[in-house]
Amino acid sequence: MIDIKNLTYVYGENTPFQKTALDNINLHIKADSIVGIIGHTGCGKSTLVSHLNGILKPKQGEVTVDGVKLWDKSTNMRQIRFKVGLVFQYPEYQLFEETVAKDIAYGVKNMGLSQEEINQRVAMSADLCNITPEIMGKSPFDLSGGQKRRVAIAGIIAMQPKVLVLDEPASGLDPKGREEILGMISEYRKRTHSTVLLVSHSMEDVARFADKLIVMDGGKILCYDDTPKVFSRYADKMESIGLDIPQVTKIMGAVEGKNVPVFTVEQAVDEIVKLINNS
Amino acid sequence: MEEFIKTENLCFSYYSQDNLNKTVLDNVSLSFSQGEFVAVLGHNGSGKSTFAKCINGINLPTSGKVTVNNLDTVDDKNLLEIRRNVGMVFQNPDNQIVSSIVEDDVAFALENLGVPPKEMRERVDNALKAVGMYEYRMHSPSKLSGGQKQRVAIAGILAMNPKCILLDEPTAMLDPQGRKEVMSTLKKLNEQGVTVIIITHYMEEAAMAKRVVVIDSGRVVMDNEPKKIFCQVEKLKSLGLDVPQATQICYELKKRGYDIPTGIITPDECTAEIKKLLKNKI
Repeated sequence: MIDIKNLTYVYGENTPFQKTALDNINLHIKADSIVGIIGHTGCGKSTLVSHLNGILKPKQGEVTVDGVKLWDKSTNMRQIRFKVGLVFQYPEYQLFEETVAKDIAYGVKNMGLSQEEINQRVAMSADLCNITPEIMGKSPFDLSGGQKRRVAIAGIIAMQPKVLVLDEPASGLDPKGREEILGMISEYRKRTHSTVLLVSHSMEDVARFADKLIVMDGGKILCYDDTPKVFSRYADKMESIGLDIPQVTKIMGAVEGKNVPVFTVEQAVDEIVKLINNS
Repeated sequence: MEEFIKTENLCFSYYSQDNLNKTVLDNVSLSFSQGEFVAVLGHNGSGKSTFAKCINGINLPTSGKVTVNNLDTVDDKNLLEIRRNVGMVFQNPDNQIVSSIVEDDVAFALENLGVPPKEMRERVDNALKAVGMYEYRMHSPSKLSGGQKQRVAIAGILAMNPKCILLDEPTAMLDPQGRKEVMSTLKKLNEQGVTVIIITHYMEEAAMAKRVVVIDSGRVVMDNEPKKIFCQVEKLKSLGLDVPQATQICYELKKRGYDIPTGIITPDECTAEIKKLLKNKI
């Protein structure tokens, strides 16, 4: 679905603040999967995802999404942006319409669809994001933080992007709000078989929701593998670059004296019960 | 110890489109002594942030009273003194950063307070070192990442040497390393006598505090030391909150009939208890 070849990006070139944010990235992401992107602040995660729908233009290298090469002369970048939905950090700051329903419809309206199709997509998106008809008529500014976040994401989901990219979708939310947002994203993938990229700082969250993980450091990809493998094989390396592994993984590692591929509470409890029964 | 911050029957409501008088805080009576390390928990919309804004006089009580060092927040004359005592760090650093150079931004409040240049230099440097942003002192905040900006915002408050730092989800945008740095900075400051009140959604951070206050629908529903809060797993979940994973493991094991104590909140305690459990079975 996404192919990235030799991608390099430099901020502030020829200024004293020149910084290579992406350094020769090569990446292949297949359709119908949730891929987590982790790395400490400033490692290039947001810069990488900004290349996926052409917000940033590569300094070198190329990005291909769904068979279409970005920035080619023949490529319609507008279509790419409908294909790749990007949800920024704190997307609720982007809400502006009078009502929730209008705000969700804003992006879809620009796609040249019939009114019927627009209504249908908005309804489907609202349903998926658990936005009740009562909320649809309200002003987005009268909602709670978690609700606003869901409305903002619903606006992107309504466009039914084949690739949904979310930059820290759960940050700043309470635990219940986190669950709702992440559950919703996982449901979107299940229903549409889309590719979802999840940029996150929460190892606990990516451990539970992502099939694969990309670990970034200093503009490079440190590793890209199935989630269990990343946490069991690269635990030490991740800690050395300022990342963390889930608390349960750490606890089980300390109990058994070695890296254990356990990263949810349920798995840990099962593992402990197994250890008790075997001893 | 003497009460440093005190709220008495604090109520706060604001006007909204469809609900003329939306009550956000409902009879909150709390007091904080100097040197405390308090975490305030509650789901989004529970009134935590409103509460924080009431403490340094950004919001004024609809009824009830808030005093800082015996100064009433309602009295305009007291506001400067109150804000000098209670420094606030907001959730989003972009709302708080004003200058185009990092060290200028950290010095901003000191300039307003009329601190002599030599002392200002020292305080700005110390504050930037405390948050690990010293090497970025000549950079432009707009070129920093979210987490780096937040550390600059915290440095700006630290430089004022406030008696109390009030932080509204300061680590929401930080990576684990940044979060650790901020939390250990806060711990260090608290050991030096600074009162720390932190609003957070990270249960692991709340577990580091000495006292946890849980707010739900504008009321204080729990107020105790972390161990006594986190052993009430079901109650916290019903309030839309969570417990640290270490606590969750012990809770699940207990539910399955294993003999394990409640009130485990750190990974180390949890590891020790599991090892004990395994040893006893052999």
